[in-house]
Amino acid sequence: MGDANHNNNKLNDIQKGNEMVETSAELVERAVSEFESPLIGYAKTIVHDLDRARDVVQDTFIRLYQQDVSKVRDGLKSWLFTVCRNRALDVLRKEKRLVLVDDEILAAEDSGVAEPGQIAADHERVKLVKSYIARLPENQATVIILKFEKGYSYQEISDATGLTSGNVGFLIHTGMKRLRATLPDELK
Amino acid sequence: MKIDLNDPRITAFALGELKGNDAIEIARAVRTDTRVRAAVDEVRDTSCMLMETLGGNETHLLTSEQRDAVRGAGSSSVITDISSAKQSFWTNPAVAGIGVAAAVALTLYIVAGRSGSGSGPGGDDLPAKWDWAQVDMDSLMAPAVSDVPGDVGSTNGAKENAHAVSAAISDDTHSFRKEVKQRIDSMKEEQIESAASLPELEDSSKQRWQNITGDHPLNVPLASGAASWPWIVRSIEEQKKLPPQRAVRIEEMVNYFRYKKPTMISGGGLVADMEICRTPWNPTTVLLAVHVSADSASQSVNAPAILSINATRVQRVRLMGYAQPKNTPTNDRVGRPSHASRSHGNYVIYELEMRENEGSINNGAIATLSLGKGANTAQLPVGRISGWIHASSDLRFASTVSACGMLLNGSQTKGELDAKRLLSLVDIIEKQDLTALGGDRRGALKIIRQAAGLVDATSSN
Repeated sequence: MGDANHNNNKLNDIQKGNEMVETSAELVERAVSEFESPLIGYAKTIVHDLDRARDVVQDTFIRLYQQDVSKVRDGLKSWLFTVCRNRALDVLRKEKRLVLVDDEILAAEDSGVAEPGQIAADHERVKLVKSYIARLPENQATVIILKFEKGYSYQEISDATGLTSGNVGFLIHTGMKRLRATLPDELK
Repeated sequence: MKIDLNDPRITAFALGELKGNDAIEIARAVRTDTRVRAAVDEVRDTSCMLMETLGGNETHLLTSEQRDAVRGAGSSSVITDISSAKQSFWTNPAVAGIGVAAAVALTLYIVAGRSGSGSGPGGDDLPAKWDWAQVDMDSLMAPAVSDVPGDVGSTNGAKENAHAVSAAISDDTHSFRKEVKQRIDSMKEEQIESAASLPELEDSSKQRWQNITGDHPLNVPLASGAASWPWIVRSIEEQKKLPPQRAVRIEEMVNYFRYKKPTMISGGGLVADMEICRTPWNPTTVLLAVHVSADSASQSVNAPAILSINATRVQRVRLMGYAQPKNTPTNDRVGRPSHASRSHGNYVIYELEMRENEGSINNGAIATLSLGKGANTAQLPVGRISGWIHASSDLRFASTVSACGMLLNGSQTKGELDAKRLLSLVDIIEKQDLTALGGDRRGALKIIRQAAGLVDATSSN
């Protein structure tokens, strides 16, 4: 669901006079749920190191506590990415790595060439996970594939399948629960 | 309002799909209800796996301790950024400027008496974050001891340091491990080769056996150090050489990697799993794996994990790894007491030599693990021995890493283990556990292959 929907929901809440007051802790929790992975990916493109990227994002979320909730909640995404970028650059500056990024490392990261053994393992893994998804009821399997393979949002899945957004949420919730119960431990 | 765990909003929230009041309501529940928090984290982990596997996208999440640190920071009245939140280890009031006995008592208190996983030094609710950059090399590189906490150190000062460092590691294991790796990565080649910054160990190749004659309770180590694996990787990958023997610590090699969170038994603030399989390099022994971890639902660890071996079935036992620093008049380097980490479990492997006529389960469990104390003791017996091939992927992997350590330190108790046998174990794991091989384990198997090659080349010279 995009910003437009968010604004509509917010408008509805305000019109109904039942908008909840969000604390900074709740805002941070929501921010983590929505932006944790994209922020780490973004920070990694700057610092070229997963551990450092995670540290930067952790720091970004901790800084969010210091903000006035009413001022940042509407522009949350842009605030997070801006602070994350600045923190990542700070890290590089402190470590004097701005011009010292190892070309070999960059080349290795960018080449995206996997070893044959790894490719075979990845294929095997995809096959196995799909075999577990195929055991789910068809409508649950469909929405899970659309969500995680195609990367659709709930709203996009709703548009593609004709299901209501609420139904999509219910099917994904139930499907993931069933999937977790059947997946072998090493895949959970 | 209590949220039902079947509420689809939990999944929608974890996937970043929930907006408006619903999102605030679930966020509130995550902050106040550990069940909802666990459910949200569980969905995130599964969705991360699904996105990586099906979508082909590299998806990364914060580590669980980083997530806890973010949540913990919200409980503090004054928020600081990560760097300023770091506390100098040596300026901790529990350590600096007090007598030895008080220091030990206070630092132990930090481990045993802290409430909640997010609370930090000084009694506030900041996540513990120690400034490891200030800790000296000896303290960082010391191995953990396998005996009862308290029995370490040759001098009062050394004991004090060992306890204090151990307490800090228990609080902030992730940063400790990172610092150790960074220090090793930044060493010069000759430092890696000489390993002078590591204490000389008692002859780890002998790996002491203990006879089992009656009730034989063993104190299961709850932690291990972190220096060995990064050291071995540098020796093998960069220098194409076998690592110096004092850098080979089997328990640290095994615990460099993460294992499935234990769930079988809980007590005394700990949770644990146990498993037995045939030893793939010795037909007369079995491997007993104990994976023990701090219980996230508990406030503190208040009792040791005790393993009792059944003397009617087992003749001898040895703990794999945990060789101690040599005790010499000039050596003040000591091991570290083994305090359970808040965030990392400890995977321990014992090798048991079975009695010839032990065969029957009627003789009782092979071993029983006890957690907790008094009337609250929880017990986990284990009696069924599986073939190595049918053991869990965790035990197969951990035992192969241990086997690699035994070859590297020239163990005299390695049975039929040689480079060829080690490679065959790696082959099986790569074939059998394809789906369980994350990047870390895949990389480890590559190193083990290289190690086997070097051992083979050395022995044929």
